[in-house]
Amino acid sequence: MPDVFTPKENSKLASQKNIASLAYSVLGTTKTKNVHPFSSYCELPKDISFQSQSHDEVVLLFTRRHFITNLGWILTTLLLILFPAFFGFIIQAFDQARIPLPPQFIVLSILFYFLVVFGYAFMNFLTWFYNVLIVTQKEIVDIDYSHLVYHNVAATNVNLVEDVNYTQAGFIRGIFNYGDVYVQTAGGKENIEALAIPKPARVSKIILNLIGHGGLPNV
Amino acid sequence: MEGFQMFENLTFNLLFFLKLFLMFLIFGYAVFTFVIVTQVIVMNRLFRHNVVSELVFATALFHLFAAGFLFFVTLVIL
Repeated sequence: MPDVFTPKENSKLASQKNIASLAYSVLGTTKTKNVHPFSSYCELPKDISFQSQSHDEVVLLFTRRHFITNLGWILTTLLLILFPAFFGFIIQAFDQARIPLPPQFIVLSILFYFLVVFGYAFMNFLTWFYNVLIVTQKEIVDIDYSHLVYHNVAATNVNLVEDVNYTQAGFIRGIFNYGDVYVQTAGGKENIEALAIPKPARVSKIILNLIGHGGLPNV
Repeated sequence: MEGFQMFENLTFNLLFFLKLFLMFLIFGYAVFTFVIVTQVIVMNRLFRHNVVSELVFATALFHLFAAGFLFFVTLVIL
């Protein structure tokens, strides 16, 4: 005979068990992990949360662009840091007396230059840091951040996901195992794209597993 | 007359314009860093990574204070 009344604590425990069993069937593990600051892929992350997350929603997968994609701006920043020394060396080699600027003006200009270089690196880091894809047992959330004042949040219910595919083209992408994952949703809903993320095959498999379970909307 | 001459000298002084230009650049940059701080606050609300989010916010604040301090120093020295 089914129970008409179940105590609240029991239902909470039951939902936790449901989530654990879902996590195990989707990810193959129930062990949570810490996410370090430069991490771009983590299954069952401990310390990740997002605005629209409900209290019983568990983050199953967290991913962002592979860290190797930052190599371009990191190298540019290093070159920009070295540039004043190189520039100063050239000026000394030719003629020092041709610059009739007061020393405090030169010092302030150099300080400002380094501040701008720091700003350039920091902006690029922010663009990488805040571009994330989060998969929970209920929804897939894609947070995009670019161009300083532009951000876009696309979220779709797991039940609305129709298909998942990924592309991994190119030599570098093959070596570092990263690619683009596309999540197609039903009807006129916005499709979700996760570009240059690590382990694209694993990510699409996890989402496909989740579709198979139909999510857990009522846990 | 003396004041006018001083103004005339300043107006045609290239160095004065360079200093003014640097001051405006730094002020503009300080405003830009303020926008970055506001955006970091907005994005930290959307997505949180426990301690790292606070570190990013602290870095953005440091950036803003550095720009403000540089602007202040520019006002005093130049």
